[in-house]
Amino acid sequence: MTIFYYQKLKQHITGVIVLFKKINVLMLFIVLLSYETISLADINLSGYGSIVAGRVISGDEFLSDYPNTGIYDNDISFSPDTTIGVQLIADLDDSLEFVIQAVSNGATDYDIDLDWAYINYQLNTELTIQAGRKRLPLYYYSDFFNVGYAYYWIRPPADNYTWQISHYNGLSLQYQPYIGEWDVLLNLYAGREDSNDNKLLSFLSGVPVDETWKNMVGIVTEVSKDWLEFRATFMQGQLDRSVSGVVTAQNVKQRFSGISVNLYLYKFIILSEYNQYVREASDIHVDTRMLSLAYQLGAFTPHVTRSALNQKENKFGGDEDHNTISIGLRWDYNKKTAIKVQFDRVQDKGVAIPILEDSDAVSVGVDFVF
Amino acid sequence: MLFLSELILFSRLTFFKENMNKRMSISVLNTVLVLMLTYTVSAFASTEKSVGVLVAADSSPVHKISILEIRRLYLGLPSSDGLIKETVINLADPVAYKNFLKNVMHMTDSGYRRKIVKRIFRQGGRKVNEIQNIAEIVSYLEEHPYAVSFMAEETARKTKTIKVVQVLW
Repeated sequence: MTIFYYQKLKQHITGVIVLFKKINVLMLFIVLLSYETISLADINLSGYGSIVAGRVISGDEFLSDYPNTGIYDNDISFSPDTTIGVQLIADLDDSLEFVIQAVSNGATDYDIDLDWAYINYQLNTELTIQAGRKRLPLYYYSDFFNVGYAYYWIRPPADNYTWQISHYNGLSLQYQPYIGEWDVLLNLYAGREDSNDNKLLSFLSGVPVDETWKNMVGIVTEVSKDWLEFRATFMQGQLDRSVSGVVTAQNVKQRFSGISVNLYLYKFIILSEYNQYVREASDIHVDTRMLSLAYQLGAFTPHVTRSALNQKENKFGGDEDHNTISIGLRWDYNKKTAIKVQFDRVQDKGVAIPILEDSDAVSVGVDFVF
Repeated sequence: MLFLSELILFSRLTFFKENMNKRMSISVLNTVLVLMLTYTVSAFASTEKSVGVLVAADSSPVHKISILEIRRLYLGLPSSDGLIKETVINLADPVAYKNFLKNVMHMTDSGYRRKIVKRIFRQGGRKVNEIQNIAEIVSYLEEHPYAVSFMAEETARKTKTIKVVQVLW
């Protein structure tokens, strides 16, 4: 028994050492980048982080982060949701800037990934154009999925955020006009992403899967004021896939659409999201939905959420059907730090495609921005 | 509405005055009138205290712009003439900050923070400076002529090295 706990402790310590080594590399990278450009441009540095520990208390495994395959099991783990990100903005001139955001996730063994790396050109006060690598803005929280401080959960509802591609390389146009007290954002984008040995698909199928989303064209509209946020999104493109080196799909059309409405009424917060993903040629129709209710009691925000993914059994036998009920509490410790605790109960009803079966999990975390 | 309710109260007091012992009623009435006067004066005084202004360094070229544009600047968006490069949140005066959120941003503290964090990390926005000491705000503005902040008009008037750009509320 003692040897067992010693081994577990050793694993955790090794994990933390790996984290710090990776963070050191990240810091070195930032310092070098700053050093190289500091004489050429003004540098603006900001960042965020989430240190989260959790475990499954009923069932075997809980898939908390689909894109990075962050999985909790019966042992306490810091890896599935722990994240640190750093953003650098370099002003090249009054209208031109370079933005880079490096992220290190525990779920990917603290490898450093580039979430954002693009050049931003300000055409006028309302219109900007970006070229480079950006996060794919499919769902409401896609853009800031890793920024735990920006929402009250430990992580956005996992059933909704099950996409295997989360970035694109291409062009983006953002229009933010003056409309009184309303904040409006219109975003048009186009691009592609090649993902070799895609983490999620390779994990689910057990063999290496290469996935390409190409000819993507999308639009996102957001209208918001203090008490209301409305967002509509649409994207269409084509998909290529090869499994163990064998091409299984090529130029397959796919489309995604979604709508979100968030209300902030007095101390009540109501968040909702409904999305549809369709790939006709593969007879795949996926619905994802989420409804969350929270109440702000000073610095405390208790919340309850139900999310679900439903893919009906199709002619190829594929189905996926799971839902999660989450109950949690966010405590705004100060203006830059939030402490969270959350319980998740997953029901996995998939027959042909079970994900990780039913489970209950608890997680505790600290989110911060700087 | 304040004056209307005062008039009603005054007429009721007059009615009482007629039905009470004269000396007693004059004494009570005087007390009530003094209290009303104190209340009215304090109400005017607190209104004066709640005036908030946009400030910049005395040497700053910043000029008056619309409240809508100030709101956009504090959300991290650029100004139309590109003159204002930085905004500073005054956390030294909680009343001024509360009035700023209510009258300029039209949102709560948590709503504002949520918007700023989202903007920084999904649109490459810049952090908005937050300073918790008036002397430091003044010093920051002096060092950054293209920066603006907000504060109570009374505070701004007492500070010689900054100028009032415009009244915000």
